[in-house]
Amino acid sequence: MNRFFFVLLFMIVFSSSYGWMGRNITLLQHGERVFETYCSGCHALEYLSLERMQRDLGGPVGHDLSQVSLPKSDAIHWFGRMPPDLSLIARVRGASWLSAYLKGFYADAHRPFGANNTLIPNVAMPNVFAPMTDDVRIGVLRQQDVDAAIHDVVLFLVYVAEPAALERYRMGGFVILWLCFMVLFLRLWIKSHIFKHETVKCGKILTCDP
Amino acid sequence: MNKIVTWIDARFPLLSTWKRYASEYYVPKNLNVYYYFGIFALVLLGNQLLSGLWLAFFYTPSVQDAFHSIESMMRDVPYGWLFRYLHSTGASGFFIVLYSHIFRGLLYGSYQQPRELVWLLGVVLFFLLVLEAFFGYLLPWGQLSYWGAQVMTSLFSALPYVGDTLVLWVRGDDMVGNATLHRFFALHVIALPMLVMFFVYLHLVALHKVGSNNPQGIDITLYRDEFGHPLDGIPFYPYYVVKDLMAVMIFLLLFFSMVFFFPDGGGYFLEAQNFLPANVLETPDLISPLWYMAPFYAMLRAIPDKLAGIFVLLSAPMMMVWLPWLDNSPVRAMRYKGIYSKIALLAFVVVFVMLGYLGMLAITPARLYWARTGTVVYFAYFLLMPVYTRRERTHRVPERIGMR
Repeated sequence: MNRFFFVLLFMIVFSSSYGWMGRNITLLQHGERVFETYCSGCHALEYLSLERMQRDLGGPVGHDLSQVSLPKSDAIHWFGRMPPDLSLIARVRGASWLSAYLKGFYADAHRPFGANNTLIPNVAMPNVFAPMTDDVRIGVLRQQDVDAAIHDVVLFLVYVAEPAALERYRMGGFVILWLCFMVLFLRLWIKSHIFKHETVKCGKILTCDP
Repeated sequence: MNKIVTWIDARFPLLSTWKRYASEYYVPKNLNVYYYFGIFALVLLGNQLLSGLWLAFFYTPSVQDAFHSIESMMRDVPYGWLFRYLHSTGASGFFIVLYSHIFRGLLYGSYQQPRELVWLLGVVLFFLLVLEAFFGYLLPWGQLSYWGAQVMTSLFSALPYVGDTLVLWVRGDDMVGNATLHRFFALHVIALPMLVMFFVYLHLVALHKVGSNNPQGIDITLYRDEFGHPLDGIPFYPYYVVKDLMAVMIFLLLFFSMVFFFPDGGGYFLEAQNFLPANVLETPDLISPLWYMAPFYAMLRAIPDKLAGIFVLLSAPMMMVWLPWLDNSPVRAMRYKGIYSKIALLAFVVVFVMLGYLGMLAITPARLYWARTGTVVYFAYFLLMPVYTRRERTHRVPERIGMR
């Protein structure tokens, strides 16, 4: 029974951490480039420090994304509001919502920027991936490239929302492993040292008869 | 080593306390898994105090900096994320443990004579911890922190005559603001932890005076050996110490699995909306409390009148205070009680979980109907207890543990 329990626990822990441990840093780097190209003109990542990003994504990548050059007065003039900071958007909305949102843009001549969204009707944001979609139409790009861009930029936003996640999964595995060993060790130690006493010689004090 | 102990013992009741509380404290030998939740609560209290201390090093209790200081803790402070997750997972874990601990009390009649005071001190602790959690929930200054505090403090305004003054007094401002955040921080880190620790001490002293109950509800002090030790008891040290140690290890295994791999708890431990900084001008679509307050919140919303709703909200947990005098059963443990008690406890648990579920959702007419039904069943469990515990046929309790 105990053995079964441990095997089950190991499987749960490591299957959940596998996705992160096996994650390709290049996808994150690609996501970062997509963000820089298509998003960073309007959206800041206030809580992301350049130093942290370079350390996590390996080597000197990207630029400081914590501020935008877009003046607030212009933003309000064009969009009606300042585009929101996206540091924590992945924790607020979740990854699947974000990719559904980015894929949910469609052409709508009634909107000021010619695009509308299925998830947020009449959204103020223009369809920033429209140039990519146009490239697909003329055959320069493949649809997979657009999907990969959206996938990776969402992945990047998930990373930005919680950079510690990279460290968290790695460390968690070791902590759980250590605790499993402690449990096994304690079990053996208790059996050999404590429950050899006469009054509880049956080993399981729960089932002793008086 | 022995010399030091002798030196200290001449000046401090060291050995007598050790004997009284550990090596010669006899515990029934048939305690089952439900009896671990007390030690789990103690472990989590320690976790909350230590991780909370670390968080307080880096947290800034002001409206401008609160949210920012937590985000910088999550990113720039070494292991800041770990301590924050320990604290947030610990808070939810605490209530899982507490509700299980209380359920154990209901199941085995741990509130009955002579343990009424242990139970009452526990109820006080529950109230203190709910307050502690409520004050702490404002500190991240996210959307739900702010609006939750706004809703809960506004409840005082329903009181006649003094209501509005009281709300102003509690908040220190017309709205939840800097003054509120500051005083909630002070209450969260100083006043309530001190009270909680004091009441934990009292809870333990009272418990050790009367001894632990057990799943059979048998008094182990009636049969003793020639040294005066209970025949059906074993000393707390070393037997239950190592057993508890083992249980704590397995508990930590589960706890750290949550901390490292599911710190959000699927949106129940850390709510998604709370990653948006508080915005006075934008009310969230749904202001829902954290899951552990949700059953009581569902009852509050189920009552159409605001003042009556608050009365129900407060009297729901207060019902536990009267419990030792509501139970008229001659036996303690559920296994010897009759069928009515069993049905009543089952209905109570089902309804409590249902209310918790409903409390986190937006209100619809059907949910309102279920919440009202649930509220009635919740109170019926307590208020009808004198009747159904007296009318049912109980089983005979054996003289000693293990006998049939």
